[in-house]
Amino acid sequence: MTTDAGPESLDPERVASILSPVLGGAVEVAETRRLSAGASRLSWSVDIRAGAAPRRLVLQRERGKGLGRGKMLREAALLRAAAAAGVPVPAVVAADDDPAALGGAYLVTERIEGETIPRRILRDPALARARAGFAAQCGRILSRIHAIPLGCLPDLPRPDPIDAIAEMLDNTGQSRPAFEIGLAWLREHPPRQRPATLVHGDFRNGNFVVGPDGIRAVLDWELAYAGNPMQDLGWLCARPWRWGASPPVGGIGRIDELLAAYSPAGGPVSAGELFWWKLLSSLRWGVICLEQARVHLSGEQRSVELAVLGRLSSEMEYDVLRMVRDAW
Amino acid sequence: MRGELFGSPTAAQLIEAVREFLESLGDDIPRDRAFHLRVAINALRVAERELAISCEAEAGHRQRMAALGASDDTDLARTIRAGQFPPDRRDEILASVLADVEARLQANSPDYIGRYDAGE
Repeated sequence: MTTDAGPESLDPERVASILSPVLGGAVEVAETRRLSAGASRLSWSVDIRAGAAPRRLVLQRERGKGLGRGKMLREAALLRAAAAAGVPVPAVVAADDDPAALGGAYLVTERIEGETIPRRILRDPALARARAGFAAQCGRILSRIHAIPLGCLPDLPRPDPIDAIAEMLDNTGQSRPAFEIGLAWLREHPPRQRPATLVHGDFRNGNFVVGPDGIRAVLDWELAYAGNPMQDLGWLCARPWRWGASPPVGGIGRIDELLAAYSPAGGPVSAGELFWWKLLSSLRWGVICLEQARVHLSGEQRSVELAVLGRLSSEMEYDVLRMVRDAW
Repeated sequence: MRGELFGSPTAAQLIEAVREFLESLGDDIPRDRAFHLRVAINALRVAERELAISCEAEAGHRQRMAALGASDDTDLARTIRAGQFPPDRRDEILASVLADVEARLQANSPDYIGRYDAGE
């Protein structure tokens, strides 16, 4: 076992010490394996023995800086509320915003087995049945997320969706006329107002655990906020989350399948309304790409992956302009 | 136009050499690093393509800016944000900005437009 306490390592003895009081007894950490290193978080699969029982967990720990930090307790509360509402999510084991124990705020959940890599979810023959029901299942899950009473949730930000993008863009220090054209079009054609609900904020192929039976878990609630629920539908159907495949819902399903299974407060979803939120989603992803490049360039986190995202932002500039040209 | 001061191998040729080296690593890289190796190779491809087209592409960009009466992207972005472009020039501005983006994509993601038009 390593006790290396570098910023990207995980000390198994410290993990055991935070889990013992929660699980009520001695915990032995059998294996930890790095899963991913995101811009704001690192994650590991953690296999433990608590008493006689082996348990498979996922531990996420925040980096010091980046998008969505200091929010692990909030995310744990969201996961518990989502579970209570029948949304498939991993069960929360432990969470703390205090960086003292592990060197960063952390969240420990059960590990749900299944596929998370989008292109495999698009193609794996073993997941054919999951794909057949994917769009409808997304609609049912979103109906449940958007029906959770806001009063049952921790305090959530209520950003204006356009202002939030413009502020993030300004913070990158970059000037992007294509994105300004997109922002101007969105402001000139405001969408239908709907009662504010919980918005997952990153509901897309890539944040699902999928098995042959369908979506087993919705992950990554760190961008959740209160606002117009249509953002989750637009994001799910946005071009970058189709991963190069044509079907409009996550590269897998049809819009009519999604909408038939989705019943929002305030009346049915129109094609024009969905278009507005898809355009906003392409714009939002393009600006997030620039923000990720800023994180690299500023030295907050040096990463070739973040650097390249800055260049891939131009794909979203193209999407935004083509969509505006069709709509003007 | 490239000068002769630094001679050969050129910056582009050095980048190409590094990319070829990274590509040769293939299976020698641990699995958890393989993704970032692919990303790194792609980053060098972007740089190589940019160097190959940059003089011509920058000239096209300057001409388009001049035609719009904007000094640079910052100026143009500020004007659009402030809503100060006459509505009757909207199509012209969009076409000009789209031409810039298409030029950028030639370096950043050269098959993107084809994939977009194919409905992918």
